[in-house]
Order: sequence, then C-alpha cells, then structure tokens
Amino acid sequence: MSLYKYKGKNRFIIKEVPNNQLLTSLGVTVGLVTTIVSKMPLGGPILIHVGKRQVALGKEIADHIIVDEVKEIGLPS
Amino acid sequence: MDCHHEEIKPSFQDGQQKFLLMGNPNVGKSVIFSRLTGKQVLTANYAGTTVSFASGEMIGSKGKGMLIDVPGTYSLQASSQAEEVAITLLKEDVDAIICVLDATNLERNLLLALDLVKLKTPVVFALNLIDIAERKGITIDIHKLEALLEAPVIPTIAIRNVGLNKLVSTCNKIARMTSEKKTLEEESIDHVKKARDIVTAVETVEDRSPTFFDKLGDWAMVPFPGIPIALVMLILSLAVVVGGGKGLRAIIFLPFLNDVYTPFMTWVVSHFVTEGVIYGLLVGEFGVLIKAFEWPIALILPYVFLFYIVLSILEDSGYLPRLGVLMDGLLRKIGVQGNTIIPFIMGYGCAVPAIIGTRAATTKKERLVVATLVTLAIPCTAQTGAFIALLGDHSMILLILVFLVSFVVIFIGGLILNKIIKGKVDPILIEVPNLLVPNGRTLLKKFGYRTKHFMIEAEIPMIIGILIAAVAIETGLLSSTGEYVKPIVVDWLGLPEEASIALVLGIIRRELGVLPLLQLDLSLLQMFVGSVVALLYLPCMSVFAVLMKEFRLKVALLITLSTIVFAFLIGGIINQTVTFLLNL
Ligand SMILES: Nc1nc2c(ncn2[C@@H]2O[C@H](COP(=O)(O)OP(=O)(O)O)[C@@H](O)[C@H]2O)c(=O)[nH]1
Repeated sequence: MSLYKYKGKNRFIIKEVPNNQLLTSLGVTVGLVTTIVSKMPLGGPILIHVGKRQVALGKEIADHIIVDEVKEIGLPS
Repeated sequence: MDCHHEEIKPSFQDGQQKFLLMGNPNVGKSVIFSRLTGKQVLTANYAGTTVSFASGEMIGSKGKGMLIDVPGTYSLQASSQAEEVAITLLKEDVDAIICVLDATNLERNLLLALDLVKLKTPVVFALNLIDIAERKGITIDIHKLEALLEAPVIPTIAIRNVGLNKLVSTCNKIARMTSEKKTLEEESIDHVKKARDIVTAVETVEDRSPTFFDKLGDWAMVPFPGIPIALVMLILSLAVVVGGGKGLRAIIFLPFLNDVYTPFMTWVVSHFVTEGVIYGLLVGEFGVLIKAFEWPIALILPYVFLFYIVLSILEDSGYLPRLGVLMDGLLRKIGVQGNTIIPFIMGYGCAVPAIIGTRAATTKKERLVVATLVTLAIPCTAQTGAFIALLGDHSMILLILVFLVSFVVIFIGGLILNKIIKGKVDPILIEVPNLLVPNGRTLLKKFGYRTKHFMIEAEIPMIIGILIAAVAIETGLLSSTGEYVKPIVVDWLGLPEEASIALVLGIIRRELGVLPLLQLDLSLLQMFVGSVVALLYLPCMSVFAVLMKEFRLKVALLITLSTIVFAFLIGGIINQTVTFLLNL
C-alpha cells in the first residue's frame, strides 16, 4: 500500500521508493523500518521518523512510496 | 543559476589559495563562514539559506586564502541546482575543502563526506553542533572517525567559536600536502551501508529524556497541538511588534520628538530664516528637518527593530520549517510549497530579501507567485509601522481589518495566479531541523545588521521623498496638479485631493504611501481606504529593481501594473460600498 494511505500506528517497512536522489540522501530508502509521526491537514505532507529526525514527504511523493505493515508479534503495544 | 558564475570568477586571483566550505544544508555552514571571513551572511535554521554563494578572504590563512561558501548539498550527484553549483566549483582548482558535519545527524552527513574523501583535493572535517549532540546524549569517537575517513576531524561549536582556530590551521596544513594520497578502498562499496558502518563504529548514544525544546519541536509537528502552537506564535509575535512598538514610541521616541527635537530644530532655524518658503521647507508641515527624524526614526524604527528581533528568533530556532510543513496543504492551493512560508514571512520585513529568497523555491512558477503576492499584499515592517501610526491610535479594529484584507488578497490572488501561471508545484520533501534555543550573540549581530541596513536604505529615499512633498506643497504645485487626479482620488476613493501626494511618494518607499495621510484630517473610512490602497499599491523602487533583476523587465512591469489596478479597484470598492451603506 502507498505510504500516504498507510494509517497504522504500527511500524512499517519501505518496499519501493521512486528514483529520487534527495530521498536517498535523507535516508528514505528501501528496507527502512519506521513509524508515522503525523499527517498534515488539507492534503499536506506526511511525516515519518528517519533515525533521530523527522522527514516531511509531500503527497505526490508519499503516494509513490510503497510500504508494508510490520506485524509485531507478541509485543504489547 | 547562471548569473552566479560571474560572481565567482573575478574573485579568483592567480596564486591565491582557494578553499571550499561545504556541507549538508543546516549544519551551521553560514555561521562558520562568517566567523572565518568576518563577513556577515545571514544565517538561518532552514534548508536553502545559502542559495547563491558568497566568498571572502579567510582570516588567518597564509597568502590570503579565499573561502567560498558552497550551497548546502546532500551529495555530489548533480540532482539539484545547489549540487550542480557545488560540482562546478569543485572543478576549479581548489587547495582544500572544509566540510561541515552535523554531529547530531552523522550518518546522513557522512554520505557527502564519503563523496568528498574520494576526490583528490584534501579535506578537513568540522564536526559541528557538538553541544547539541551532547545534549542529546550522543558521543562520537573523533580519532576513530579520523581513521575511518582518512582525514582530520575537528570538533566545533560554531556559534561559540569553539574549534574554529584549529580548523583554520588544519586547513592550511593540509592545503600544502599536495595530494598523492589515499585511494579509499574500491569504489563500488555502497555509501549508505558504509555510512551506517562508520556510525556504528564511532557513535555511542546514551538515552536522555527529551528536553522541553525537543518535545515542543515534536508537538509542533502534529496538527494538534501544532496548529494552536502556530496561532500562539502568531499572536505573540504580533503582540511583541505592535504592542512593544507602541510602548517604545510612547515612552521614548515621541516625548523626545515633541519635547526636545522639534522645539530645538524650530528654535535653531528661526534664528536664521523667517517664516516663508525656506522656513516651511525646513521645519514646516513637510519640513525636512522634522520629518526626516519623525518618520523613519520616531514612527517606524521601533517596529522595524522589534520585527527583526522576532524574525531572527523565529529563523534561528528552526520553527519556520515546521510552520512550512504545517501550512503546506493550504499553501499548495495557491500554487506554492509550504517552504515558501519563509519568503512570505521575510516579506513582512522587506520584499527585497523575500524576493531574492525565492531562489530557493524549486519551480519558476512558485517564484513568480511568491514574488507577486509579496509585492502586492504584504506590507513591509516600515509600512506596518506607518499603518499603526495612522490607524492604531484611532481604531485597533481597522488596523486588524487592514491585515485581514492583506490575508484575503493573498489567498484570492494566489488562487488566481495558480490558475493563470502554468507549471507545477513540486511536492515538499524536507528534513525537519532541530529546534534550538537561539544564540544571543548571533541574534544580536543579525538584527543589528538588519536594523543598520534599514537605516541606510530608508533614510536617503525618505529625505528625497519628504523634499518632494515639501516643495510640492510649499510652492502650491500640488494644488494645480490635483485637478488631474481628482476623478480617481476624490470621486472614486473618496480621499481629499492632498492625499495624492501619498500616492506619488508611495513609489519611493512603501511607508511614504501612508505617512503623508497623518498630516491630513481624515475620517476613519478615509484612513482605511488610504491604507488599503497603500498596501496594495505599487512596489517601491528597490522592489521594482529587484523584480527586474530576478525576473525580467516585462514581469516587473506586469506586476507593477496589476498592483496599481488592484489597489484602486479594491480601495474604490470599499469606499463606494461603505458610503452607499451609510447613505441608506
Ligand atoms: N547550538 C549550536 N547551534 C549552531 C551551531 N552552529 C550553527 N548553529 C545554529 O544552527 C542554525 C543553522 O546554521 P546555518 O549556519 O544557517 O546553517 P547552514 O544552512 O549550514 O548555513 C543556526 O540557527 C545557527 O545559529 C553550533 O555549533 N551549536
């Protein structure tokens, strides 16, 4: 599912990212396991944790990032 | 970017050493540059402050080294304008590179570092922001990092001048080691992985409970409480500028003007000339000696001063990019990215740096939209001061209404521009910077610089404007030209004929479109209409010049023309509607 549509509180893993050098530089790469910080109103960007920082991704980019929920087995939330 | 190449070439002299200052955006590069060269570049806590590059002589370098501040880049992949500039500069023959790293975000910063150490040019690393890293519980093993990068690493705290001397001396040392050095092990190794490995090897993170500032930074990044926080910020800023400004004026500036300055000047002048034209020109209704002090200093300066304090704090704290992310959704409706909130806010200071600041915007369309809206509907601090002087003492509601008109026009104007200007808006993609407590000394320098700049920029045009007004009034020239403007000024806008002097002077400076109204006896409606017209009316001469430089003459003329039409249209509509309603 696309990152922009991802609603879960759980961690997710990034499966696919568009080819964009800045994304790579900011650490948004395939295999990154992280969580959503928030989504801004009026079609605004979605924020995710990358390391100790937060990265804001506009809708058009987040639409093209494919993620998958990471099932946390046996962990109390 | 082409125009910047011209800026750099002439400064390269033969035999002069050349150093490049590089680093990711927002690592403290501008601070280091001003410390190393003694030149003031405006620093700010957001990506893209360094949009074009500056160069200056490096203090303490032998043979007068030239230091070039390269725009912030994340890598050397030529994937953005800034990176292209960086690559072009690297092709020049460079003696050494100073690369600034953010100690709080080492892994990402190492991507650029790894690109640089592959080059032939010697590199020294400044590991900056170690004070913040320490606060966050991050410790970095410098010796190990040096070994892994095969280059010297100097820990620095740029804003407190820590480590910078050592940085310069190391830079001089390595510049002389003409490099037949290292070939880091083979290319193909993945930088992302390598950076991760290095960080694992050199960095230890101790869990610290987040400080209040860390928490505030996080709160600002979720719609709730992010939006209330933004509103509180707005109200606080306004309270400081408007309330503080009025206080300063009432307590210091006006008593000085009325009780000391004016009587003194009048007394001096009356010793030399008797009542008449010359007397009028000097100390009369538009007397140069009086107005040249009263307008820019007693009425405007308090606001300019306070506005720049607030702006500098907002910039250096790292709050503005957060506001940009928060407002992105709304701003996209008017055809710009959230990031452009920064030039918009700068526009409340002065449109000139705001328009230059749009260079950081990704698309041409965004630049045009921001430049047009800033020119059209955002009052500069000086003009805001003039509004407060005119309206603030009569009706705070009208003052707020002027700002509401400004917001509405920005929004509607933006919607229209978004429709008529072709092109797309790139999606936002930024890393949210640390929220920092701004450093007192850096702040002081910054608004000292900005206030001084205002005084120099404002005083001379002000005097010229006042002279024109004084001559026009004292010689009766104004009343004879009044006939021509009567249909617009008197019939349509409902202002007295003499108000046309404001329209003429508004060309010189924006606040001069308002201040002459102070001399007239106006009704509240007339004050409001006059303010709205002045708000929307023409860019001042400096703004026109910068529009021409940044875009083209045609664009500058088009923007100018549409602002005039808009100003008279809206001002007239307000006047006619209110008059009509009152006569019912
Ligand atoms: N605490 C702290 N703040 C710093 C340090 N160096 C720079 N800053 C602040 O970090 C922000 C970004 O600096 P700036 O020079 O504009 O970054 P640039 O984008 O790399 O040019 C500014 O608010 C600086 O005052 C440092 O060593 N310690």
